[in-house]
Amino acid sequence: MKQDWTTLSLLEELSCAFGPSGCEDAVADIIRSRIAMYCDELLPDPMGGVLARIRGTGVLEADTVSPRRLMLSCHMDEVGFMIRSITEEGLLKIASMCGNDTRVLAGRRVLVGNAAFQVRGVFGVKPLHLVKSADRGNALDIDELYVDIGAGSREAAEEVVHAGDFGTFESDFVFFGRDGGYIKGKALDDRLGCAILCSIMRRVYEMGSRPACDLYFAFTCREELGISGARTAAYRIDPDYAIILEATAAGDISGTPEYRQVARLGMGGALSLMDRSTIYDRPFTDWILETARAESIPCQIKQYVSGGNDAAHIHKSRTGVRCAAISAPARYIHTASNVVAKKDIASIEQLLMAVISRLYNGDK
Amino acid sequence: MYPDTKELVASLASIMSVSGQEERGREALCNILQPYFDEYIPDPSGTHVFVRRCGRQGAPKLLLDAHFDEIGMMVRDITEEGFLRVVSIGGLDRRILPAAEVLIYGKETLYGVIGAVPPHLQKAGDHKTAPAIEDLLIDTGYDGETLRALVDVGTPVGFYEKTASLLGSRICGRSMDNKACCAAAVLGAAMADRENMAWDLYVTLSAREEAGMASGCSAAAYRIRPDAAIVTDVTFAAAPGVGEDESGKMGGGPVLSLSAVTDRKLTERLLQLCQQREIPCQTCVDACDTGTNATMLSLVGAGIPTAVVSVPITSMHTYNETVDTVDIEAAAALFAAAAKEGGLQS
Repeated sequence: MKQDWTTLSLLEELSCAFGPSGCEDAVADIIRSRIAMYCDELLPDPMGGVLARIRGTGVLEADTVSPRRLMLSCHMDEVGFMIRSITEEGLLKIASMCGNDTRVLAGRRVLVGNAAFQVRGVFGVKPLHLVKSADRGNALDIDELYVDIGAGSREAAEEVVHAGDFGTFESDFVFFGRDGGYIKGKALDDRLGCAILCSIMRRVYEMGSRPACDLYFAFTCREELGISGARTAAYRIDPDYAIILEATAAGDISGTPEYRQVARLGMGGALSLMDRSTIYDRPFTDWILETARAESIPCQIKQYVSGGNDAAHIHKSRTGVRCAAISAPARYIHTASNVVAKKDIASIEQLLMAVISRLYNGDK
Repeated sequence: MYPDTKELVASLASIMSVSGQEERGREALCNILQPYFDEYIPDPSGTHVFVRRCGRQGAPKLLLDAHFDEIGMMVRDITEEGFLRVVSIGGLDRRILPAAEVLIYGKETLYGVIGAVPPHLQKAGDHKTAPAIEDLLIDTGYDGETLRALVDVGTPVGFYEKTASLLGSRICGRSMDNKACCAAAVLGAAMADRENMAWDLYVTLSAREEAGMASGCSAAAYRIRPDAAIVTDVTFAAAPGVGEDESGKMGGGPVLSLSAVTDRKLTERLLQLCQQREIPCQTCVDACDTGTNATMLSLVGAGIPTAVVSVPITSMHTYNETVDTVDIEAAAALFAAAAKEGGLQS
């Protein structure tokens, strides 16, 4: 029986779920419940990730593995923070887990707690009126920031939250722009990768026939920290090839010269050639590009050497893995307001299906 | 019968009222407030005047002023690629704008995100500087041509955040400054029992305070010629970086201003009333300037004795200003009590 969700409805559910790095259980539960029926087995992962296998032809025994294995990987965690301490007034001091751009934290609404229970809070700001005019253009320091959950005292705050609890943005999932063609939400980096992979699993499984090689789907933890759950997932899966599904920072906004835009919304998934931690396998990447071209599926090349993703760990796993990365261009990444284009999600899903279809023919 | 405080604040906060655009919300506002007042008087200044009468001819007039406008932006440029550039209206805080969400009140109400420069395009040290408002771009998800048919230069832009609950009786969201006090004034009027009122009560939800002009309140007051006035506006609540002697305590009741520009006798009568009715309250010292409509209002016509009663909020001028509904209700109780008291002005 087919489950009643679409890539976009699942993306909304996943975007709104609470899953900062190290606290991905709520996201993992959603994913497990959606894909359990669309794979042959779920593999154990002590790191908290969700690993699933669809067996290739000729390897239908549970304990045997195909001589060739493709790993499709995305990460479940989102940028967040941790509660460091609670003041006498019941305010929460925090440790950032998302780099140091405090400009996108001040004033925002957040959720704090754990995978099972969260309360709303606000990143409080000293009112502008009381800030010396020379300082009004200065971003707030992380030490100046605090989360107000409305507790009023340490005792009242400690009834609901504790030091070590997690926090993320609270942000509505919004369709906007022309024909509602754009999506704004938190954690689209990389819940869109998660939603696409869930859809791919359903589509592959429902085709009824099997690919020539084993397909492994990895939904990993702690990517945003750089302490990648993908590293251990890759060790267990031992793939020959891996495709990392990600979101990458798009700079296609007015006033940014074209050569600095990196990737453009609406032009399809962006394939990475190189970033700060990986040089991607060129023949494999070219093969994917060629597939896109042959099927007239929009895609682009990420035109900047920046960032990094789970490939950093996967490509170095065991004796090495040939990696490619396909990223949805996303504006305002690592804020509460990631913006992506609906049609890029469709293009990436289409491209992955085309790649997998070629695998059916043993074409790699 | 009076409204639920949080619901009233939320419904008032949902009405766009960026300074200079206060009249656009007239119908929505009248729909919400109509049960509690006898008369609505539109004012050319953009101020909304609501009257609750005591029923006696020639009764003195008490004016209760809460500015209705909110900080926001106005479109100054629409780019080819479908982004908007804006100017600020009122004291916009640059430090909280990257990635903030907005509503653009054009021919249709559009959603937008204020662009933040991605880290890889920033120069070293950029993350320490809040971008200038003139450099901000609002991402609308439209192409320039379609956008120009929906939005003009001059279109107002406001924040997106709706009112939401925190723990206990606290709420957060856009425009608590000053919809929290608008709610207190309305609630106070609704609580005032007509038979026992000593005054005709004029509630002015006034225009253009945030733009620094106070023109809405003074124009309306000139027309009304009240015998006494209470200005209700938000003040700073105690919070990190905010001194104890420049703030009120959240949940401690309304803050009465002791200032050279307010009427001390009226203020003391109000403090007395709080004591008699066991309404929690606090005071603060605003020596020369209360930062409210009070200065302009007290100078209208031949002069109006004016007091300032404030509701403490945190994170003022952000899109998540935070307020305790307990303070709104205590301020309302004080306004209802004042409406019963004759002779406050003398």
